Amino acid sequence: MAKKHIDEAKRNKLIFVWVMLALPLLQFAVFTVYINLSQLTLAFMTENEAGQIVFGLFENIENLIINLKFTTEWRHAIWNSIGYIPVNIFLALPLSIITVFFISKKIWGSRFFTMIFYLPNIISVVVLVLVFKNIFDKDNGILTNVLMNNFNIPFTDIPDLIYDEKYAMTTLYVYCVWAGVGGNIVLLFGAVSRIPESVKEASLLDGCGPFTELIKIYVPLIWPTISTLLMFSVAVCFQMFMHTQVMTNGVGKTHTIAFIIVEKLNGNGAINYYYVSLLALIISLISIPTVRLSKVAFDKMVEPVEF
Amino acid sequence: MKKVMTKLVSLLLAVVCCFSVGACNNSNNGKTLLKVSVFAAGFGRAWLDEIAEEYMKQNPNVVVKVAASTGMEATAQGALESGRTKSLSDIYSCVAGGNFLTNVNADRLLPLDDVYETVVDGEKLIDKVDPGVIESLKVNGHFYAIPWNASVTSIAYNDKMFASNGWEVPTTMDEFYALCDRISKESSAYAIGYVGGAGCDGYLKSVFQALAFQYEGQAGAREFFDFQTSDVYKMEGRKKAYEAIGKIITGVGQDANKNSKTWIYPGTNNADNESIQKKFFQGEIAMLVNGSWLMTEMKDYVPLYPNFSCKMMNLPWISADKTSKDGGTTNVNVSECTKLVIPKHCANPELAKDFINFMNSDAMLKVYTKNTNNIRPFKYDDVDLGTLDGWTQSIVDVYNNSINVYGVSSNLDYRLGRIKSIMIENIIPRFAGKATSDIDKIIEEIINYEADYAKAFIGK
Repeated sequence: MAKKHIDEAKRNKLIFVWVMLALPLLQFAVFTVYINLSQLTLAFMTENEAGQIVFGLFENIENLIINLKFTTEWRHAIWNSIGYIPVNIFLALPLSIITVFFISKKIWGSRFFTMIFYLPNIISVVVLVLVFKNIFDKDNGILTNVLMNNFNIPFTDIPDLIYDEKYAMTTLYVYCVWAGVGGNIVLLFGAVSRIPESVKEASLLDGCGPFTELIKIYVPLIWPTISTLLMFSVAVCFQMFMHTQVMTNGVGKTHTIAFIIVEKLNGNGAINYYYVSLLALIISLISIPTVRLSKVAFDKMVEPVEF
Repeated sequence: MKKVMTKLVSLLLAVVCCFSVGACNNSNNGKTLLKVSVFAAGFGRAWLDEIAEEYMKQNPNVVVKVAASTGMEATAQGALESGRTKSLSDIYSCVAGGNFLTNVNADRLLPLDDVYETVVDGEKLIDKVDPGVIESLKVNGHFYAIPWNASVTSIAYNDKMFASNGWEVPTTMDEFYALCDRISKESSAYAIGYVGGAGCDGYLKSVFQALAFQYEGQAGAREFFDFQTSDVYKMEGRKKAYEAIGKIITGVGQDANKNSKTWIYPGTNNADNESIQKKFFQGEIAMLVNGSWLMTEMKDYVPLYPNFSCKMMNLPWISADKTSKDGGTTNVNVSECTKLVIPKHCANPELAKDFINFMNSDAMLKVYTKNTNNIRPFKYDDVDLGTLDGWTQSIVDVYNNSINVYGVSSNLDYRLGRIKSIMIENIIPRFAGKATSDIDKIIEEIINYEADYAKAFIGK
């Protein structure tokens, strides 16, 4: 009787779980799997003179080769995209880790700082970019006013940090750090919060200074989170387009890989969906194993520590 | 009790989830529902709302529901591919037009030959439409679309500034260059500006094409869009047009104190729409390369500048004798033509045709122009648009006094976007920061690059 009761309870639980999952699974199947698969098939197609859809993989590849030969946008895009990796790995992430370390020491105002750091992640990207542009825009920015009024620098001598190709991409990287640190901090803070107080106290008793504590205690203990963020840093190279689109719209040679695809879909005139699908397919074939391998490599860099 | 509550909550959640898959029904309080879905272009939707209201007054048993969004093209394509009547609107707009031929060949669109034979205001539609756009609306000899929007892209000028300074509207490029020098010297304003940032290349591409076809004439324009060989990119008209654009971008004059002063407003090459258009409204720029959408786009700012007014000029002629190579004396305007289509499996095809006939009447063309300051691809010679403000009248004048080129080609590479009217990505970076004396060399590089690039696709 008891066993029958348990089986019935298990069955009911299973039914409940599947009923609740049914709609999200269906939505995933339709709006993610089906749409992406059907989009990928476009990469193998093209149109003929009569407007009929025919097999066209080789034509699309030829299209890509010709465009690579004659345009420079891809060269800029690839280098600009790769540039996001060291910016995130060597700048944004270390800043986040150091910040979290000090916040975890419960310095004065730590909760307030945590909230402030996370604000860029809950505010719309468009608003954030506008705020950033209002500071650095050459024509109307606060920086221009300060330089002209307080330092008597003539307008013509002030660099155009947003649109001039000498500075534009650097400005975007700075924006990336400014806007991205907060999200890292929240994730790292969650990981740091799990470190037992006894471990922290033991390190203090052993005479660890802050630097040693950070490197030898905190980092190994939260390495799974750090390695995930490192993996995201690699993934962002293939995904980043919003900053370019909203800040410069490609002006100043600020193209990225994803931005080129978005630009071709939003461009004026005829849109070659088949060619764009091929681009997306190729980028997927490169990015998926790259990101996966990077995760494996990052995981192996530090021995996992159980606590 | 807890179990009952759990079951009730689960049931409620399930019912709420089902709302997300509910479909619309096709009638509205016993009236027939006509669904019109358009791309929310820079001209807004007020014109369509007013036309819909007028139609409903005359057809009280019909409710016209207008939907407008910037993502309508993708939404429409998805609905057309589904073919399900309940998912379809009765009228859609096509903007880029890339899917038009595919949809026709997939038998998704209703043929509209009868609509073109319908007499509206004493004239068949086929006789009302701008002839330059006709071929783009047909597939295999049958009509499948109605022309929706046209546009005028040229040089807007501050007419009050011109009048108070005694400046004449230039009719040739030589007069234009002289005027830029004169503006630099006689006024604190800058001669010209354009939207260099925001990815539209200052709208200079449209001006470039218009100048090139103005020089080459209609025959030259037809030859170009045939794309028989890549040599079309080396046409003399294109070189002349690049020269004109290059001079605008690099031109330098002198102010009253003989200090050098660029023709273009500082920061123009990176300016977004709003900032440079505001400078134009504030009187800091005398002329602005822009289009018929300017006033609609800036409608929120117009009341802030009550003393400002502007008009659109016909593009100055490259040739001093104001004729094209084939002896033509009519100027050229490069326009896009967006389309309205009726899905084959929509719920109310006949009603959709009736609504379109209504939209094409003279009265509704007037409503369109009144709301958008713009024109549709129709002949406006016999259409009474009423009293228009100076800006709108100048748009209509430029359109009526021009051969309107719509960039239509049956070439497959052009249709698929492999080759374009301009093969370089952007014109402005080619000339920005360079000296006027370097223009010829830059143009030579551009022309050869475009021909080589196009040849890789065309093959000859």
